[in-house]
Amino acid sequence: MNHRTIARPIALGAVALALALAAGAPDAHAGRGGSFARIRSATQHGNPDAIVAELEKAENIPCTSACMTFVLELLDHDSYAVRDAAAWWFARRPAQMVEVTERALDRLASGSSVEVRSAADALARVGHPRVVPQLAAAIARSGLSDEARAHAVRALGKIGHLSANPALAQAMGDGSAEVRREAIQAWTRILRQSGADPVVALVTDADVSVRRAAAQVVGRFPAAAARASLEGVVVSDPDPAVRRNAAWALGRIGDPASRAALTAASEDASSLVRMTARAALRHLR
Amino acid sequence: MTALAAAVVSAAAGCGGKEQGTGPLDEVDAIVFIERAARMDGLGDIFQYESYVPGARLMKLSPPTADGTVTELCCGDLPEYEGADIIDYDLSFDARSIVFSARLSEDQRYGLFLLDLESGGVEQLPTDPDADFVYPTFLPGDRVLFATNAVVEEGAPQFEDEYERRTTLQLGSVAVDGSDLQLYSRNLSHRITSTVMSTGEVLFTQWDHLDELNAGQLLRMNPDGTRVREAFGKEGTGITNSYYKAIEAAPGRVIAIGSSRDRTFQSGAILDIRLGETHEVGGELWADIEMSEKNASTRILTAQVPLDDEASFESVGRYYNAYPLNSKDYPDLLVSWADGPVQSDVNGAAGVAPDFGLYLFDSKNGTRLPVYDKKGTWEINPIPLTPRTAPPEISPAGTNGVDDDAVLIGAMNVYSTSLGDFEDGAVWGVRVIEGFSGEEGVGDDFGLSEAEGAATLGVAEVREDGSWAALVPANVPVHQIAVDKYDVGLRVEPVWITGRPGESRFCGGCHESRSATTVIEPGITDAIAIGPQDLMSRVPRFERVTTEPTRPVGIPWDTALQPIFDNKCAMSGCHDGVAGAANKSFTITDPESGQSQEFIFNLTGDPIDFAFGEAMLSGYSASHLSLLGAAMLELEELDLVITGDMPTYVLPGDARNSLLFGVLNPPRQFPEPDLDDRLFPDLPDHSVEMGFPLTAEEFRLLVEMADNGGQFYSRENAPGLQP
Repeated sequence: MNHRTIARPIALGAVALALALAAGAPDAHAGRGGSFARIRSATQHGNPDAIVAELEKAENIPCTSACMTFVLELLDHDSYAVRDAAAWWFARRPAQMVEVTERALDRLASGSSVEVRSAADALARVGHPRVVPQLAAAIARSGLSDEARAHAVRALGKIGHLSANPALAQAMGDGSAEVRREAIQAWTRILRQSGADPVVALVTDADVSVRRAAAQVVGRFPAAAARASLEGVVVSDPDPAVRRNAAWALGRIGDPASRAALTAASEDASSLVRMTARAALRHLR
Repeated sequence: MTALAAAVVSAAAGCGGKEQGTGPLDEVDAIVFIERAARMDGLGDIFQYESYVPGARLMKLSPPTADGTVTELCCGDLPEYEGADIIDYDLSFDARSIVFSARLSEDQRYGLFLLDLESGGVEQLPTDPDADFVYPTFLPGDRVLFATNAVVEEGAPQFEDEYERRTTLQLGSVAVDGSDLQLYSRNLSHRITSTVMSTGEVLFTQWDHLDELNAGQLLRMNPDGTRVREAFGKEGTGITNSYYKAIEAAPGRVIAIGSSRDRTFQSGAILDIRLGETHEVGGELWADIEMSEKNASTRILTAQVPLDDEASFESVGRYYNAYPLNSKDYPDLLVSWADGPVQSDVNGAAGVAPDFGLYLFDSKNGTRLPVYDKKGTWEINPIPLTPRTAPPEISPAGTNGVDDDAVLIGAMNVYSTSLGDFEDGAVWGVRVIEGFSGEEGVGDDFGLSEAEGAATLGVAEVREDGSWAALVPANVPVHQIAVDKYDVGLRVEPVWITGRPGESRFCGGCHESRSATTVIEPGITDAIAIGPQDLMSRVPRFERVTTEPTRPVGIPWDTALQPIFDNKCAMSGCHDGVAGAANKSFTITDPESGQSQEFIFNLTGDPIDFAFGEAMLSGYSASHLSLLGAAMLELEELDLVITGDMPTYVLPGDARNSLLFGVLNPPRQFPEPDLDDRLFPDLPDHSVEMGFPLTAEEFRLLVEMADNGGQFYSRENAPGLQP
């Protein structure tokens, strides 16, 4: 058995004591007990979970300009969870939400890749469906990183409006696998989405993570047009997770024409596939 | 093993052979646990489940001592599982198999896997690969219970928790052969970490968010997801914010972790929770007599561990799990524990993750003996590898006999209540309100109040014998408000209830006594004899909106209420935001700078962008801020002083005590509107006095807005649902 050394626990203890003296004992209930001081303190200490927790506790507090500026900077934090929580914080403040939205739209149009990424994450929380065109334009902007464009796609999904469908369909043909995968996942978040036709072609994408995502999404809707591709993939794709997802999708589609392919998959060498294929067989009409 | 460890271990009872005396692990040949990569974030609150760091394994320690042999049960030798992270598992009753929840790569979700302990073979259970399936629990009858973010309602978005913004987990089950996967009805927020009790019932943790209430309570249900009811945490029994990872120690008695909702790495104090009255059985302490919230109690087994989100201390730390090894008054526990602050802020400042390891905990003396702790990884979820008696299977409850697709709700006698008496005949009906959250195109805020989304499904009439009955959509969380003939709430039931298709959720009364029986006349209730009222039970989700002015469903502030204010209240010279006798005001003053700003009562739809000094306030529209008031803004945080005579006109969730209706005086609504019959017989109606009388329909909108939570947004004006 290993024992940890003494030095680190003492260091932790000293930090704990200092923080306890500084912070006091907050209410444990969600949404209450926060303050700008606590947000600042958590940010200085660096743990994203702690920063997020303090933002959540301070959801309703009014803010001085110093406070506002500080939280605005959290919209550019390295941690996605912090950026998301900071944007949520502004989403609770209608007037500031307008300001954040305007700033984000400016960045989408002319910001660096990092700025576009952060702007997209902010709009995912504060954005109204009317910003869909600007997000679509950012996805198509040349010179931006794949990450930035993928986050713009993600934002479309989080806003969830049907008007995003054309942009998402276009993103599914993007040269970046990251963008294509994000577009597939965003497709499922669109409210009152029906069908997954644009996703079907990606069942045989060159990238394994795209194929995994595509197979599971065409099963969610379920897209009968994908059946033939899925029947090929379920027995021949080199990736067991793709084969598993394809089996799932075929069960959801339920066409008895898939019986032979699923029967073969039920004896797959991978433990990820077999039970899913057998379950899918039970669901065939 | 270091010499220090050996010395400690040799002092432990049972180490090195049974001839050294008895100990709680003496009859245990091995324990199973998860070895998981340590982490600094991703476990910010107890409901977070998506954390992924590759490298987890299922391990066995045999014998369960520090000099035992550690072997890997799963799954490092299988290429598909190389990158697995494991969040939880359960051991079958016969101790021959394990069901575990694992995520195999960053781009996959948590799924369920079955491990055969004899052969070592693993199979993935067939679940939706586009959803997470976590916290598996074996049920009697060869089934597995789980928590998942898959949605039971086809085409509907899963609820998103209002604070931590994640897709919520709900419960479901599947047969161990992968067949018959069922998703249960939904709570408005998370349901997690379940355990099956010796009665066959399931105990689980539910996050309750309804207006100001925010806590993780313990609830009970049948293993098929029906008959959900409170077990512990409400009715004044609670001692901290959340209770989770409960494991039964004896009938009616569970060992659970108690903590704040967040910042403690999903760990906390160990609580011995008694769900009913206690009694001794053969040296064991049981608590299965009259199990109800009223009779529930708790004993804190780790008194020094903070129950809030503050840092813990050296040699106190926090507990990730606690598994009861016996049922003594002070049970012995197999625990996962980490020393030090175990708090995200402090650990973050030091850059050091907590180190959870396995210990034997003597709850009587408060001592811990080390069992196994590997530096750099977390050893969590220890369970003795021993068979246990399977609880009895509880047969599915019969259907409600009225509708196999809807849920029958109601009460035998609404006047049977533990919350103070109703005047005889005062309750005209029960307003049933559907709840939803921002996932329905609203975004992250419904308005200045704490209320979530609301859609009134209808008002079910209370019959002569005090009964009422209604059919509501299955799998949809609803809450209820008893209303009088003026449609003003008499009492709000502050819990969401939900049922599976065909289920009956019939109460005795209106928050009736938890320990007494509701007595009614023999025979069926009038409400059932007449037939339950259909409250949109067949109406699809996105069509549950207002289509007739006389039957409001959602009440969008800008399109349903603002026209009333514009036409009857906010005209020039009236409530238009101009200082005068018609418009009270409040002034916010910063004592430090001396700056101040005045806000004047204003029922126009103008947007609010209210700044004074350096502070900025937002209130949606002027009318929304004027009615819900500055009290919603938590101005005390800035040490500001509020003066003036503008009161709060609308109390969200409480129309009866809202000043607005003392001024306007609502008319009768049921059974038919009557403008000559008023809630307050001796008070005037301000709208009549001013010559712009409100109609009965307009009154109904205002009253229901207040009772339902004072939201600005509803489905009708949700931005994401507009064309």
